[in-house]
Amino acid sequence: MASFNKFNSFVEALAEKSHNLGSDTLTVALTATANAPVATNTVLANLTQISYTNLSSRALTTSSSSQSSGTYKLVIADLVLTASGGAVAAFQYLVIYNDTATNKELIGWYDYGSALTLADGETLTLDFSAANGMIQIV
Amino acid sequence: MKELKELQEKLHKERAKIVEEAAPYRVRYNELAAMIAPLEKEMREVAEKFKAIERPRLAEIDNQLGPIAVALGGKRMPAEQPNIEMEKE
Repeated sequence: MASFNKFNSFVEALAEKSHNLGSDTLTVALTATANAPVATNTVLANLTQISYTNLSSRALTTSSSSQSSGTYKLVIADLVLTASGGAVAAFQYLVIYNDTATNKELIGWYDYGSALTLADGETLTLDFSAANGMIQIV
Repeated sequence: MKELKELQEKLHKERAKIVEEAAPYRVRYNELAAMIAPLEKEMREVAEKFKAIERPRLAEIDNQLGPIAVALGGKRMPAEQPNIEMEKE
């Protein structure tokens, strides 16, 4: 299980209207082992991303964004990253960011645990919990 | 008592001065917010349109494609769900 790591700035950005998690396009960025995200990163421009040549869409699909009894839950559908037409550059970190937000503000990241190269035709499925969601705010 | 009254008056004056200095920027901020409001309203309406098209079927499809990719030999990364908690009083 890959742990979610929150960017510190996310909570302030959320409180100050930088994010509409229910409508904005949330996207995955990938970085190599040598370019690990840190909690003090704030925007996409802070990251050194891999080349996305041969990689399928990185946009996340929102299943639901709602609250129940005062607990908000953002449920994201699984994302299958597919290499097609050639290999995808090696990556280790999967960063979730808001592609709609003004400065493409960062939300959080996962560590795959080791460098991963997808050869042509190979896939990596980001398996988000349908029951618990990607993010809860209580 | 007299010192407290004097301090109170001094603080009130200082407070009033700060509020007065910031006031034009607050007015402009609220004007801009009012100008943006119709666009934000339209954004919400447009969002409801694409959500009506996408949900729930797009997510249902993606949630089927994930297990299929894994069953076909693809790699899988289970993502832990975090809690972002607000401090409770």
